[in-house]
Amino acid sequence: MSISLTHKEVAERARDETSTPRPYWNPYVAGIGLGLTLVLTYYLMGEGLGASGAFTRFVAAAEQTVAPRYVAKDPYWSGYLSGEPVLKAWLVFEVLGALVGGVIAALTAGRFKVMSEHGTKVSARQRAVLAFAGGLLVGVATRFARGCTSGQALTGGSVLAVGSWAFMFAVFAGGYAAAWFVRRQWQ
Amino acid sequence: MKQFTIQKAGVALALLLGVGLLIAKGSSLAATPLANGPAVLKTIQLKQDHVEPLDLAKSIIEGKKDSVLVDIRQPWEFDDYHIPGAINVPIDQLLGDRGRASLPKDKPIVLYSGGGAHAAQAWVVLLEEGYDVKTLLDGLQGWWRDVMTPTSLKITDEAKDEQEYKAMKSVRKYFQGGSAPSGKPVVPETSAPTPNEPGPSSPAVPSEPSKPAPGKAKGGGC
Amino acid sequence: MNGPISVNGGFNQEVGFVVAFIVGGLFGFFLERAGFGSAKKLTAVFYGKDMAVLKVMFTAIVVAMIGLQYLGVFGRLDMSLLTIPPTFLGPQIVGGLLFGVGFVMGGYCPGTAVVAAGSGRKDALWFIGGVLAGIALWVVGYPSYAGFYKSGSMGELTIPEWLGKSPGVVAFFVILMALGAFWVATKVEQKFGSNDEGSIESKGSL
Repeated sequence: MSISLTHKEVAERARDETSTPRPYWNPYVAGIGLGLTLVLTYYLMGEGLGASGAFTRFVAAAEQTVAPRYVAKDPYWSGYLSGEPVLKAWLVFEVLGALVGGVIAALTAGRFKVMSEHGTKVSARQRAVLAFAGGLLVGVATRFARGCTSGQALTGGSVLAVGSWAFMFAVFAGGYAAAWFVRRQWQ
Repeated sequence: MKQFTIQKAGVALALLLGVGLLIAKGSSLAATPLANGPAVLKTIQLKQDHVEPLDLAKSIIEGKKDSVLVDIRQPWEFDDYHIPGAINVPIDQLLGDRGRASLPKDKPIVLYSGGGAHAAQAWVVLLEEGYDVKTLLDGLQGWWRDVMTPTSLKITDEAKDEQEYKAMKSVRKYFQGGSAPSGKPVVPETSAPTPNEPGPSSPAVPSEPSKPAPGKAKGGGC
Repeated sequence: MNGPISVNGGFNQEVGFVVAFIVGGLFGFFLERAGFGSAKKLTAVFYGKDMAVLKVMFTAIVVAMIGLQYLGVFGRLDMSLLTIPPTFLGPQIVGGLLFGVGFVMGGYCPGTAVVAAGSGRKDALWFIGGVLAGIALWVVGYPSYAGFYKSGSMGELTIPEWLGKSPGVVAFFVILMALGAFWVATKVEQKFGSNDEGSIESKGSL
C-alpha cells in the first residue's frame, strides 16, 4: 500500500521486507463484517453504532469539570444531560472499544506507524491546520445532524430512517463540492 | 478469476435475499406493538404499563415535567375535578385534532379516567399509534384511595415505619392543602403546582371516586 | 431470548457497557481492515480514485438491513423496540453538507478518526481536537439556531412509512441501488484510479 508512505519510508520498508503492511481487505468483505457487527449491536442493545455522540459527551464532561454551573444552566447541555454521569454511557464505551479494536487491527496488519498523512505538496503543519479546520466543521455538522457517518448514515441507513439517508446523500454532495479546493493536500 | 466468481455469487445471494424480503414484505420498523402481542403482554406483566398513584403524586410535587398527564374523561367531568397539572383530551378525541395537538410523541404520556378500564383501553390504541404511554393505576379511584383519602388505618398498616407513614401523610397534605379533620378534602392552596387548578370556589371533590365501593363504579369504571 | 436482548431484560447496564466495548472493538477492527484508518484512502472516494468508502458503506448498510429484516421476519427481533434516528430534514441536510466539506478537508469522520489515531496518525489527533472544539463552539452558539435545530421534526420516520410501501419492497430496491452503485464505482475507479494504488484484491471489482 504505497499510497500512504513517503519515498523515504518506502525505502525503509524495502530494506525490511517483513515489515511491509498487509493489504487492506476487499471492501465488500470489510463491509460485510461491519454490517454483521451492526446487526449484532441492534440485536443485543436495541440501538446502533455511533461515534459523534461519545465526542459530545467528552466535551460535556470537560466543560462540567471546568464550569459545572455554566453547564447546568446552558440551554443545550441541560437538555442533553440527565442525572447520570455524562461519561457513563453506552456510546462512550463503544468508542473506547473502537479505539482498542483499531489499534489491534493496525498492529496485526503491520500498519501501526506514528506519522501524518498527506501528499508531497503540503507540509505536516499545513496538514495539521486542515485536519483541525475540517474537524471543526465536522464537529459543528454532527450537532446539527444529530449524528455522523456512523450513527446516521450507517445505523440510520440500515433501519431505513428518512433523515439518515438524506444526511448520507448530503455528505457525498458536500464532499464532492469541496474536493477540488483541497485536492493539493492529497497529491 | 476466483475473485470474480465469489463476487458474482455475492450479487446473486443479495438479489435472492432481496426477493425473499419482497415476498415476505419485510418487517415493519414502526412502533406497532399490537403486531407483536407478546411484547405488549410482557409490558403488562412487568408492570410497565401503569404508574402507581403515589409515584405520580410524588413526581407532581417535585415539579417533574418529564411526562404529560392526560385526563380522558369528558370536559364537564374534568371541570368538576382533575388531578393538578393534567390536561384534558376526551377519549373520543385522542386520535383527533385535539389529541394530535396536545399529545407529545417524544415524551411519556400518563392516561387516567374515572376507574381503570377506559384508560387501559385507550392505552392499547395509543400504543398502536406509537405513543409512549402508561395509565394511572385504577384511575381517579386509585388516586382517591392512595393519595386523597384522609389518614386511615389502611395506610398505617401498609407503612413499614414511622418515616414512611409521615411521607405518605405529607403527600396527602400537599394535595389536600392541609389537614382535613372532617374528612372533606380542601382545595389546594397557593402552593398548587398548576395554573389549571380551579379557583377556591370550584369543588375539589371528585364526584365519582368519593363514593364508596371502588371497583364497582358505574360504566366499567370510567 | 428474542432481541433486543438488553431491552427485554437480558442483561443490566454494566453488562451492556461490556457489550458496548466489545462491539465497539469489532467496529474499530473492521474499519481499520477496510483501510479507514488512512485519510488518503478515505478521501480518495471524492476524487474517484478509490471508491472503497462507498463500497464498504453500502455493503455494511445492505448487510445490516437484510440481517435485521430477516431477524424481524422470523420473529427473533422485535423491530418496534429498535432505536431509529429521528428525522429532522432541514438540520440533517445542512449538517450533511457541512460534514462532507469537513470530511474532505479534514480527511476523516469521527469514527474513522478514532481508528486512525489508534493506527498512529498524528493528523487524526488534530482532526479529533477540531471535532471537540467544533462541538463546544456549536453549543455556545446554540441559542441562535435552536429554532432551526428543532425544525422539520418528522419523528422516527422510515422510508417504508414515508412511501407507504412495505419494508420488503424498499429493502429490495435499496439492494438494487447498492449493486448499481458498486458497478458505477468500479467504472469510476477504472477511469480515475491509477493502477499502482492497490491490487484488485484490495479494491474489489464488480
